[in-house]
Amino acid sequence: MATPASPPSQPSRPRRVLFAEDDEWVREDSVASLVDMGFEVVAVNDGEEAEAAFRQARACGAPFDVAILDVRMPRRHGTELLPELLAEDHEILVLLSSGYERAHLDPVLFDSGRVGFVPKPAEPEQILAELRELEVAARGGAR
Amino acid sequence: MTEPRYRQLVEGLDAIIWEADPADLTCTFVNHRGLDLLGHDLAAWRRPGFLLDHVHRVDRPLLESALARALSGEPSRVRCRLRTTGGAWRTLVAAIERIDADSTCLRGVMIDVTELYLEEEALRQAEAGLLQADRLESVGRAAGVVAHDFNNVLAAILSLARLLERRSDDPAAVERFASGIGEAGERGIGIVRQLRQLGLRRRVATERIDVGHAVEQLYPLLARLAGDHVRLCLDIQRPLELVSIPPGDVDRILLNLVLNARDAMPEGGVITLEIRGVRGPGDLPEALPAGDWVVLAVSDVGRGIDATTRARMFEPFVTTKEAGTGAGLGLATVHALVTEARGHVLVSSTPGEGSVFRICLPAADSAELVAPTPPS
Repeated sequence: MATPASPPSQPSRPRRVLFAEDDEWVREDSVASLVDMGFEVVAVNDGEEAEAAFRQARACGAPFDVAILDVRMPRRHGTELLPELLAEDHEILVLLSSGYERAHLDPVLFDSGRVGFVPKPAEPEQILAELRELEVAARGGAR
Repeated sequence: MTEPRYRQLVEGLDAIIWEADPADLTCTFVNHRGLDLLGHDLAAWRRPGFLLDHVHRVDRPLLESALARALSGEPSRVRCRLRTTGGAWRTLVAAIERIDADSTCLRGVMIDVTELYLEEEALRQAEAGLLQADRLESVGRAAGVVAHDFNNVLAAILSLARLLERRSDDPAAVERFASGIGEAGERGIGIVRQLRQLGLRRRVATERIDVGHAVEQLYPLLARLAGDHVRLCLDIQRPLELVSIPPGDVDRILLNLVLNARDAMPEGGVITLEIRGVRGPGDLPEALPAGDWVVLAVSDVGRGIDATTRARMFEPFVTTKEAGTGAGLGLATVHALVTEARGHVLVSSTPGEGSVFRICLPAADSAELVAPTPPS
């Protein structure tokens, strides 16, 4: 479904990304890499900012396709924010990012089928791969 | 009771019953069951020193002292192993006494507890195995937390490497990223230092510290850390004894306890810091050795600590906080610092009502008297 004008590496979906991460270097690097890959990225550095950005984007009629949330963040953890995002937006996909193993996280977090995991540290390509995989899993690759 | 029944009682009871002449420890009487249990015949029992000749060499001093005590008129009990004719050991519990006040003859009854003892031993070993498993679990948890913290440091460094590559032609950016790498490295060092502090005894000189003064100094910072929803109350009883502790340790203890108290009250509440001089024995909290103490109590009205957590809360890497929020080193650090200062941490907590951590530090002069530094 890629638009003909897009470079081959650019995914058709998702395009708008909310990137929440409290480490400024990881944030700066990941944002630059995601932008290079053709995503439109809004970066925030804690859970409350992430929540505000999420609501604002929906209010403007330009909701995020994907949220990449650090599990541990000041003010609100990604895992705390997750249920709200999934409940309010039935389309959004979420990648949880953590220095812990996925096995350390509560499996319930992944029950919706719209949540994936990316370990830290991760190469930008790995984030992209996890996103694609999540996309396929959540949408059956049909969209 | 008829004599045959008495005889049956003494001879048939499942125990070794004997009488002995203490002069040469010759057994002047032993019951039939006694002969059966160990297999030695009457002639063997009648030989001087039979008991001491057949007791396990490790248990011999115990038996000797029990016999001596009995002889002096004090009934005594002892557990010892005696050898059978087959060379096996039976574990016996013996009650030994003087036959009567005027007599110098001894008598004893010995019950075979070999099987009970083996069960007990098996139980002890099972418990030791569980402890070992517990320790392995702690190590596993430790590995998880350390891995997490290092992963975050590595993530920053790897990101910085990519950013450096991306912006290598921008001197200002390069400088910023280079200093970022330095900071990330420092964070890594901090993690290692924190770990090492737990394992290694530091050689830090102690100073005589006024705990009340230290708390007052730190109060503004503590109040800020406690946050808007938590009131921090201070109650210092003066005069206070000084305590002997490395400078800064009281601060670290306080910071950890106040942060825990705050986290136990997500909806807010009151933390009370109370400092008292306590002189034994009347005023002493239970479990505290006699002496002069300075007691620093940090109380909260938070969610409390359940029994499972209490059992292991001083272990490193045990945390009740959500994965990633706490390294689980706070109370382990507090415990290590307090123990190093020859103090005690006493905890009381009611789930749902709050917790009190009492840090009891020996008053400086009293500490020198009570527990002198062992010669190195």
